[in-house]
Order: sequence, then structure tokens, then C-alpha cells
Amino acid sequence: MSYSIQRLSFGYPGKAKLFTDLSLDLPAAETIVLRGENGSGKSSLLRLMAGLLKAEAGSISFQGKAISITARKSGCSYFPQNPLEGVIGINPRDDFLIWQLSIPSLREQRMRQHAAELWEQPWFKLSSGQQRRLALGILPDLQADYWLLDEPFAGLDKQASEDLLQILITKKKESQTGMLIVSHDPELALLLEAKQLDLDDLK
Amino acid sequence: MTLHPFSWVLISLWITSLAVLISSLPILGLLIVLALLAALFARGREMVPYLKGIKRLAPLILSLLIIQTLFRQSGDLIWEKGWFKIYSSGLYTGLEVSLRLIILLIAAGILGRLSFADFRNAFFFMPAEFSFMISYVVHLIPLLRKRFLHYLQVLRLRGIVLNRLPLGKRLKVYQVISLSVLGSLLHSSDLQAITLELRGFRSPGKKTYLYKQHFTYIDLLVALILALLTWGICLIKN
Repeated sequence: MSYSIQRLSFGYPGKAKLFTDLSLDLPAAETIVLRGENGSGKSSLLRLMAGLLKAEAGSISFQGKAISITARKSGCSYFPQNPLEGVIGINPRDDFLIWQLSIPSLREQRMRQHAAELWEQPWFKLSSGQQRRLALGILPDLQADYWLLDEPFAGLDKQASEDLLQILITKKKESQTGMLIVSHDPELALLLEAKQLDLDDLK
Repeated sequence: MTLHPFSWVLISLWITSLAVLISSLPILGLLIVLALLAALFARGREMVPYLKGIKRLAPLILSLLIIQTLFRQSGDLIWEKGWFKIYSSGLYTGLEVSLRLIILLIAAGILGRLSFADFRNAFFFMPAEFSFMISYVVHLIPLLRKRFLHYLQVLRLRGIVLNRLPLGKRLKVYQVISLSVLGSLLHSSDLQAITLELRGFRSPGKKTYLYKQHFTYIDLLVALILALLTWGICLIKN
């Protein structure tokens, strides 16, 4: 098992519980598209799985080890719904420099090629689609066993969506990377030949 | 919160002004007690995590105390061992500075509880921009801290452990993070200012208003207590 969630309970302070006794096993190298109503807790589940939120009860383990925020060391990578939450620096170039500390083999030339004109533009001056495209630009170089992607296609134009889809398909076939992708697109599971889960059914 | 926001501003101003003007240790101690009581009343249960936050600043407060104690060498010699000497003036000033800092931090916690709408209510007699500026400055430090912690979290998500990086790379990371924090703050203040404009405080004609809280006898009582305390402290000082 890659990810194992056992009897998970979680709720934000002062609000109704999002999950009570939620159990879920996500096999390694499997792609899963997670769906659910707005506010049903999809993003919160991913944040819990990335170790960014603490469960009230229950456990989450990745490859047999209890999850922690440094999950990336054990091969799990998380990309938040808001691309700006996952980047560091004033511009994409700064973000690349920080990524290079984690992936020394990363080459600026490859990163720049699909966004040369935006490379030194402040993140805040970019559209949300451009921000996401640049934030996810690292994916082809990311050697991770498991990806947690929160609405990665939101705001992307047709070409960027097709490019991202191609990256996901390639990674899935070549590296056997497991993925949990939050998406409202009903066709995504078909395109990725992925299993589909509805969070509302799991509760 | 039953008190008018202006009363909270008044209490904070009173505490911080006295903390800066008065150098008597017993009165500074009394001000800490009063600030704690006011903060407890203002923040309720949230007071505990806030005090824990202040506790994290203990090394800074302690280092201020030590620096003042060691390097201010006037007054009576209290204790010595070799070159290490503690003078009464150094110890007194060290305690004074540390207590002042603690008071300022607690008083900031009282103001930090107030939202922009509270500041707008408190300064109802001033232009909305003034309330916005005060509100933004008051929330600046907690916001800075929040942004800084966020970037540290992103680093950890990427599997980067700062302490294990060589010094040069670590400094580079800190430089990138500092600029990011500053940039995101400038951007968010820009957005806040636009939001403020969009509320149309200056627009003519009929418009909606923020709920206006009225002064009650409790606010009058607070003002009276503050005046009496000021008078009492002046008597003690003279």
C-alpha cells in the first residue's frame, strides 16, 4: 500500500466535522481522480495527506510510515489548489533556485523554455493560469512516488491543459508514479484511465 | 466584546504610553498585570496561544536583559566574578527594557484582536483611510510571521532542511524568503486598499454603512478608571 488512511476524523475549529472514521487505502502506482461537492473536504484531505493539517483522530501513513510535512523526502509531493501557496520567491526564477536545492540536476534552460517571457515577472502580475502553469512546470523533473494534485487543471488554457495531461500520462506510464488528483472534470478519469472516487460516497 | 473598540484602543494607548514614560519597576510590574487582565478580557481563550507566542520571544527579551546588565557599568556594584561585573544601574535598566517590551507585546495583542471594521468604528470621526492604515500596521507583524512560517512550510514540503544547507545557500534561501514575505505583504496591502476603495466610502448618494457600535456606560467607566489610575500613578511618582 502506498497511502493508508485509517479511521480519520477531522474538522476545523468551531465548524462541523469534515470526516469521521474515514478509512481509505490508495495503492502505489495507481491514479485516482477525487471528486466531491464544493466544501466537502477534498482539499483538506490532501492537506492532511501532505502533513500540513493534523488529524483529530486516526492515522495516515505513506509507505508504512506516519505522514509528516517532510513527506517529500519519502517520495510524496503536494501541489495546492492555489498555485501561489506552493511557490517561494518573487518570481518563477526565485522558485526555480529553491527547487534546485531539492533537485540539483534541475536545469534552468528546461524550466525557462516554456515560459521565457514570464521567467522574471513577479508572481502577482501573472494570471492564475500562468501561475499554475509555471508552478506545475517542475512536474516532469520531479522524481516522486506519489503526487497529490489539488485541481491542477483549474484556470489552464487548452494548450496548457493538454501539456499537463501529457505529463501526467507519461509519468504514470514511465515512472509508475501514484497520483491523487482533485478535479471536477468528469472526463479526466477517462483520459487518464484512472479510478474515480467521490468523497461524498466515502463518508 | 461589549466594550466599544475605541475603549480598547484607549486602554492599549494608555498602557503603552505609561510603559514608555514611566521607569519605576513596581509600576511597570503593575502595568503588566493590567495589560494581562485587559488582554484576557479582550481575547478570552485565545489568550493562551498568544501568550505562548510571546513565550517564544523569551530569548530575545532575555538577551536584552543580559546585554543591558553586562554593558551598563554605573551605579553600585552588586556582584562580581573576575571581569564579570553587575552594577545596579545595568540590572535596573535591563529589567526596565525587558518589562517594557513585554508590556508592548501584550498591549499589541489587545489591538490585534480588533478587525478593520472595529478600527473603523473606533475612529468613526476620521476618514476611512486612517482606520485602514492603523488596522494594517497593527496586523502587520502577525501577518509577517504568518507569511514567514508559510514559506518555511513550503521549503519543508520540498524536502529542504534549512539547518542542513551550507551557510551560503542558507543565506540565499533567507534572502529569497524575506523578499517573498515583503512582496506578498505589499501585494496584499495593495489588494486591501482596492477592496477599501470598492466599498465606496467616498461615493455620493445613498449607501450602506458599517454597523456603528455606540458608547455605553461601561466605556465611560473604563475612561474613568484609566483617569483615576493615571492620577494614582502621578501621586505615587510625586
